[in-house]
Amino acid sequence: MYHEHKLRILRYSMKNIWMLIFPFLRGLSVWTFDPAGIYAWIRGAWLDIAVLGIILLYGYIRWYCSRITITDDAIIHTEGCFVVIERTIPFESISVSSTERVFYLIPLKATILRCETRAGFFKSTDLSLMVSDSLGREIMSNIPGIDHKNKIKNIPEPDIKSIMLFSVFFSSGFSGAVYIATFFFKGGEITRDIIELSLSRITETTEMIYSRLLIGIPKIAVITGLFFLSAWFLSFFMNVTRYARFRISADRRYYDIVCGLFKRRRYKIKVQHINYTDIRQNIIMKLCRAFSVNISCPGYGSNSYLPVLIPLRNGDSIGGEFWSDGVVLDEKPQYRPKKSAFVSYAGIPAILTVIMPVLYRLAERLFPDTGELIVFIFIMAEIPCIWFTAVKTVALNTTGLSVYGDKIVIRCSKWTSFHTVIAKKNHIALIQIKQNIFQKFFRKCSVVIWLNGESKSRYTIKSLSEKIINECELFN
Amino acid sequence: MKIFKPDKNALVSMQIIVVSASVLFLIAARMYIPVNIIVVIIAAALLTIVIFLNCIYLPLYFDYLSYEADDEKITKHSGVIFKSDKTVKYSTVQYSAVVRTPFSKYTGLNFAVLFVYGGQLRLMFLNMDDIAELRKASSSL
Repeated sequence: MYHEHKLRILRYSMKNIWMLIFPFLRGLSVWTFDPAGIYAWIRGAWLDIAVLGIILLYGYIRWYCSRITITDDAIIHTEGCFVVIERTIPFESISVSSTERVFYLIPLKATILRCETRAGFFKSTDLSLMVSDSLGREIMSNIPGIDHKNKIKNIPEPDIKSIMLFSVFFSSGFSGAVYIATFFFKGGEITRDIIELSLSRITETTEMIYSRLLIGIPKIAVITGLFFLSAWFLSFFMNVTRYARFRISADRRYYDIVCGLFKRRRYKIKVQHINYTDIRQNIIMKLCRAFSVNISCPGYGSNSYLPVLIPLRNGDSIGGEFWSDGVVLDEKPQYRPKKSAFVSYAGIPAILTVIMPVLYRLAERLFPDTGELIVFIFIMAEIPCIWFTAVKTVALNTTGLSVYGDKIVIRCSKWTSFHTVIAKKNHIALIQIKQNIFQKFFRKCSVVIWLNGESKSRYTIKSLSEKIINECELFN
Repeated sequence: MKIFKPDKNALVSMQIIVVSASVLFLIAARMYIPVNIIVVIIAAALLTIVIFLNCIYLPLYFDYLSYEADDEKITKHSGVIFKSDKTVKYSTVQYSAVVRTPFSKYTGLNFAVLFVYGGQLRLMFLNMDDIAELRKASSSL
């Protein structure tokens, strides 16, 4: 039987320790180094010290009651003083076990250990413990992992260049941040020029008001623009530190992933518990034939961490023996929309792209004084329309559904990203076939496939022929 | 197949908890509400709730609450107004938790939770011997 790391006492006490913040500040303000002063201080603050002692004692009792037992086939965690909760997690049920060594915990030899199973509905951790390094290693050695004798060779190892590129592509929308920053930099400048020009025409008084009040407009624009760029750089930096020194080793049953610079994380992933594999690309990555391989597995990935298996890879295959699942990535989908489905894919952005110059001409006539501003606004509005038209045109040519034995491959796009999802048939939760009035007329339908997963995993393939219902074995 | 019924002491414990909570609430109302008529109304409402819970709802709830276990699955029958039957296969159980309250041997306030794909099954008011037997049957509890 083991206990958690002693640092946990503070964590258990922390819930109540905030109550002492004001007495502590009050006591600190009258603190002196004079022995008589210290005695007087203790006399005055004895009640606060006693309460602090009780809180720490309560934390200690809670820590003492938190016990970890390792049996041959399960980890048992008991917690609680009055109401005792005993959690038994069989090793075989663990989908992902992980250890996290944060840089400030290294001198204290503490590790955060997490175990996650397929149970539950939200992304909540089934077991999270702060343990000593040695206990963390012992627990991890008891949880089944890769067999080093049968390790798969030639697994693609990401280098620093691919990690940097991956961070560029997946850092909170690089193109979006640049676009918004440009909007504020340039838009602010033009707005200032126009306001300056308009006001200088009126009166001297107005000019005085302008010089006093409106001089700040470009500054705000610059600050907002800088804010978005800084936010992106911060996201980029976080991603680089999260995925730096990314190493993966695997056998047929388990993956072992280690990554992170300041927070060194190690994951043991049970392959059998992976719901599906998601190969992600954006249009630039598609042009460069690059892709990122993600997996959906309970406990791997969160809001801030992408569930990455291979951060970035270039080429047509994921990597020799590592990916011999009989799925050919470069092959055309078996069931795909026809070219005539252009309207349902890229119709709206294409129409907006065409309409935008017409609207520009109209606005130019209605507001002749604001010519430069209108040019800028319409250029900025035209860029996303062209971008979306390009993305959805590519999506039309790549979207589709394939069935390979017991696996399905879904190729589709969500906003500006492209997904190639590979899942076993028995991981399909629901298949929906949707038809609106136009699709009914043109004998088309949309197929929505829901896959097993802790969060919503829904993929839609639009404008497939109605015949798919009879032809594809998935629907029979 | 074996049928597990909730611990008989649990019904009495729950009835005592309901009465104690009502008395505490009434004392608090008496101390902090100066208007007598409001206190009387609260007392009447509490008395109605206590009578309803202790004499009607809880006995019916405990009467219908039962668990059927065989080699493959466990089924929970519960509900007073709306009856519900929930079945969980042992093979889908990922892990389990047992919650023990103070003096649970005498109060019968033990709970076991089976965590399965996408949800959980709560086994309430079983005594520890029954939980141990289910542990043997399912080898997961």
